[in-house]
Amino acid sequence: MIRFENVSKRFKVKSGAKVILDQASFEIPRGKSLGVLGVNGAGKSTFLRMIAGNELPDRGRVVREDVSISWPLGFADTFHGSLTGRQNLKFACRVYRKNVDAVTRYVEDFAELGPHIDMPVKTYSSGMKARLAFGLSMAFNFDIYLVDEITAVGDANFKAKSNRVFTEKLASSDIIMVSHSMPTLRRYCTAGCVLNRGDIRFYDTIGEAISAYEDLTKDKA
Amino acid sequence: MLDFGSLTLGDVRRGTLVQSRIIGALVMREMRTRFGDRHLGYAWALIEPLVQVGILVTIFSLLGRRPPLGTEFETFFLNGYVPYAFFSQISNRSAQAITANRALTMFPPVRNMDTVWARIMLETATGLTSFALIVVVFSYLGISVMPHDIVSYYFGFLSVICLGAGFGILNAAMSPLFGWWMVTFGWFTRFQYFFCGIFFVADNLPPGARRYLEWNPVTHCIIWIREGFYPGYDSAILDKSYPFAVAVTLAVIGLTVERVFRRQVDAL
Repeated sequence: MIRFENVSKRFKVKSGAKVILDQASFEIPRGKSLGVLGVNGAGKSTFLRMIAGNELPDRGRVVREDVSISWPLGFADTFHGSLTGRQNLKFACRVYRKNVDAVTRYVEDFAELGPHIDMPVKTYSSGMKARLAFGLSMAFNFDIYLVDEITAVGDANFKAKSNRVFTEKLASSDIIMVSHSMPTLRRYCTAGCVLNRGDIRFYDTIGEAISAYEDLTKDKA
Repeated sequence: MLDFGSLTLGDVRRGTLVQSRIIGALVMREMRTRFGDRHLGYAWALIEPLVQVGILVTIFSLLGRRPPLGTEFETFFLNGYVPYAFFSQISNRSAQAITANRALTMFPPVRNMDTVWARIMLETATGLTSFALIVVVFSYLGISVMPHDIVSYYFGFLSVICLGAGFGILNAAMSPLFGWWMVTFGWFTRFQYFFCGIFFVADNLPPGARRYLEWNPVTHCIIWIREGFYPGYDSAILDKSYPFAVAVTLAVIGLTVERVFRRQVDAL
């Protein structure tokens, strides 16, 4: 269960402060995949990072109970450049208390790095790094996957494979996804929420969330 | 701002378990990255204090001096330089823990302070290993390295390790906030090299100089260690609670600063 209790969060920008949440209390619904919508700068990524625990609220707190949550996918900079892919995997396994051998086998197979798995990560191309990171997150079987702008990496073959694995995950895990692409959100998400100037609203279907978001952007135009 | 409302003992226990697991993982990771992939890096870190002590012994013997305590420069500098090295390595290495491991905080279970504890532990272990190496080499050369009061001797080392950790925690908390902090601390470390008592016995100094040195916690640690080592040396200066008091105070300040400015530091 993920519960926001009286959470306030604002961002300092040049023109003053931007309010992302203002004394908001809510529970993130489980058993659904949630699309997060909001205009640019509404704080969608920050919202995701608060769920993960990467970022603290200014006030209030985020309670996570009996639920494993991924780091926001799409970031590969947790890897240490001078450690090999295998050594980086080992570290992540220790942090998350996973079986090193099983995870390494899975990622080796999934990320198609071949002999590069034993090379320092700083020698990797960005695509290789992304594959390693994506493979690692898929190996961990989180209850909830946080996805910040899913970016497809690799050739068509690899894309198809990633897609298949990710869709399989949806059977057992929830996702919370930030994306600017409505088709992507419709494809992966069943429910949605809209962040707007410190206010957050939840919708039972992603369709409702998208139309609420479109109303919002229309008002602005 | 801090709410302990629903914190139970079970939470604390669970938290401690998770944290020790993560610190353990960090120590393993740091061990690989601290010394590079080459084993030579680690070898050098272990040998360096031995080389330093060797150089000091050679210089002072060539000058025809006699050590102010005992009969051998080897043990005099062993009991001066090694504690200094503990202090300097722990306090300086843990200082950069947070800034160097910024990317790691993308793994939410890893907290900034975990990286600091990991470095303190790794530097302590490295220091102890190089200390043991010197002891082995000296015994092999026929130099007596047996302290006369072994308990007091090791408590002296414990005090300097704690002091290094206290400064390290403070440094780790301050250095992301103030760019000048570590430059200043670098000067402080260099100052310590000359004035903590590697080269002299504080008791033998004129009262004017002694008065100032009594404020230096590192000096107390070195006196403590030498008191434990040399029979008949009983310092009038030594206050055994002082280095621990300083260490705890600095650690509390450091942890408070880290907690209060955590958001700012994470956002940097």
